Order: sequence, then structure tokens, then C-alpha cells
Amino acid sequence: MVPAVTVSRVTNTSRYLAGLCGTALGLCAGGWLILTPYAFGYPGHGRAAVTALATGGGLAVLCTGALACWAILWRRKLRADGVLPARPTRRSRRSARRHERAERLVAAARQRELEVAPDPAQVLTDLRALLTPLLADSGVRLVPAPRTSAEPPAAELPVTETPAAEPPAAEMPATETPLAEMPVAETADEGLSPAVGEEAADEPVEVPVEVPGHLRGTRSAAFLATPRPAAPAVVTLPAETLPEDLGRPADSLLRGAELLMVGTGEEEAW
Amino acid sequence: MVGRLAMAALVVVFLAGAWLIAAPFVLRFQPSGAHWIGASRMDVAVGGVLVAAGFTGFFVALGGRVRELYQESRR
Repeated sequence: MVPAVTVSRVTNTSRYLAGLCGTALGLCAGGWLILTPYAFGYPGHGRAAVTALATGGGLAVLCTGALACWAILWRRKLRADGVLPARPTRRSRRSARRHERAERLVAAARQRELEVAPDPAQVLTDLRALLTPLLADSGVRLVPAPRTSAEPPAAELPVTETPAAEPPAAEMPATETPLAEMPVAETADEGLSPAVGEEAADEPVEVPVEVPGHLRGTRSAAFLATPRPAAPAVVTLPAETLPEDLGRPADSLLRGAELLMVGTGEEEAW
Repeated sequence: MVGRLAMAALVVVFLAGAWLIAAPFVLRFQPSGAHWIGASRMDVAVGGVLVAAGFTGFFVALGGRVRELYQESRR
């Protein structure tokens, strides 16, 4: 069983061969017609000689062009079938040169950028280290960076901005009250509760907690349009449930830096 | 475009052959009722070959093209 591709190539070959043979025969006939008046001694300017010369000349020119056309067609077909290799055109060569030049430029620019551009996380760390003493001097409490495994706990941080009046959350006595039963800060904020001062161990600690996600939860800048409240939402949580580095109000400078990083798309790096 | 030119050339070959067959009688360099002169015999012979070549070549090429169209329509 002969494959279909082979059959189609054979028939196409016969087609082009027929065209080539027909035109080649016409070319030979035209040449012969040009030669016959001289070969057979026709009268110099008789009708027979003029007819033979004119027809032969026209046939020769026409069949030469037709022969070229059939050859071009056959070569195209062979290229389309993959028998002949594809010939690169001038346009494709120019395009390849431009592409190669553009890739070189992009590679050079990328290398230069990598050499010059600083690490955004390192920039933020340096900024935090620079601003922390300034803010500590001005008495503003800091929002600690999210804890990672590499960072020391909050108790070991060198900068402790927590006033002495407020013990850190880690030092607060433990309570067994579940989170859902904890009173909200607005109700406990009055300071007139009879439990104040009597059972300090059972009293929930009031810790200002930043609502998670409002700084770098999403990439949208919708929070910029809506003015933020001056004071963060205060939720009363048991001391054990709070992480050690939680419970410090945010300062505006570091928040601005974080917003800058979020806005520039460096959230992951941060 | 090139394919049409090639096919047209085969048609012209056929027409040139027909013209060569008819030329001795149309141009009257072959007297009627007399023996054929050498030019007339030559023109008719070459014209016959050209007619046969043009006819065969044209229809074989046309058949191949139609077959290609059928194959392309099946893909």
C-alpha cells in the first residue's frame, strides 16, 4: 500500500513533467522552425519562410518563458513538500538580523539593570533600620515587620518602644477565655469596669491591632481613596493569642514605604 | 499567477501548432490540387507535433491541478 503523500507527490510530479515536456517540445519546434528556411533552401522572403521564422521565433520566446514558469512551480511545490530546503529570503534575513540585534540590546540592558538595581527588600530593611532610632526618639511606636523564621522574636529586638506603662503582650498573664467571648475595646475602654484593678490576670489586654490586609493585602490602591481612620481598630484579645510583635501602632513613614513598595509591585520581595 | 502563465503557454503551443497546420493553405503558398511542397510538409508536421504536445501537456497539467485541489480540500 503506497502512502497517500507519495501518491500525491507522484501525480504532482507528472503534472509538472507534462508541462515541462510540452514547453520543451515547443521550444525545440520553434528552434527547428527558425532553422528550416535555411536548411531546406526556402526562398529568402517568401511567405513560407516568413511564416516559419515568425512562428518559430515566437514559439521559442514563449516556450522559454513557459519553461521557466514550470520550473518555478515545480521548485515551489518541492519546497512546500519539504523535499527542497526553504530558501531564506532577503526580508527574512533582514528580520533575523534585527531580531538578533534587539535580543543583544535587551540582554545588555537586563545585565546592566541587574548590576545597578538594588534589592527592594534590602532597601526596606535599611530604611527601617534608619528610621527606627528616629521614631524611637520621637516617642512613636512602630509597626513591627512580619516575623519570619530568620528574625529574632520581638522580645529580643534591640529597639523597644513599648512604654513601661504598658507591658508587652507576651508578659501578660494568660487567660482561658475564648476569643469569641472577648469584649470589644469600646466596651472595655471606659475604664470604669469593676474588674479593673481587681482581677488583673483575667482582664483582657487592650492592644491596638492593625486590620490585616489593609496595607499590603491586595494590590489595589482603593485604600488610598478612602481616608483611613486616625486610630486603628482596637480589638481586645487575650495575651496568649497575640503574637509577640503584634500590638504596636503603625507609624506613617514605614507605612508609606510599604505603600510605595506595594504600588511599585515589589510586594513579594517585601 | 505563474501557474496560469504556464498553462496559457501550453495553450499557445497548441494554437501555434494549429496555425502551422493551417498556414500553407491560409497563406496560399501551397497550391491546391498540387503535390505538397517541402515547406508545407514541414509546417504541417511541426504543427501536428505542437498540437499534440500542447493538447496533452495542457490536459495533463490541468488534471494534476484538479487532483491537487481535491487533496487540499480533503485536508
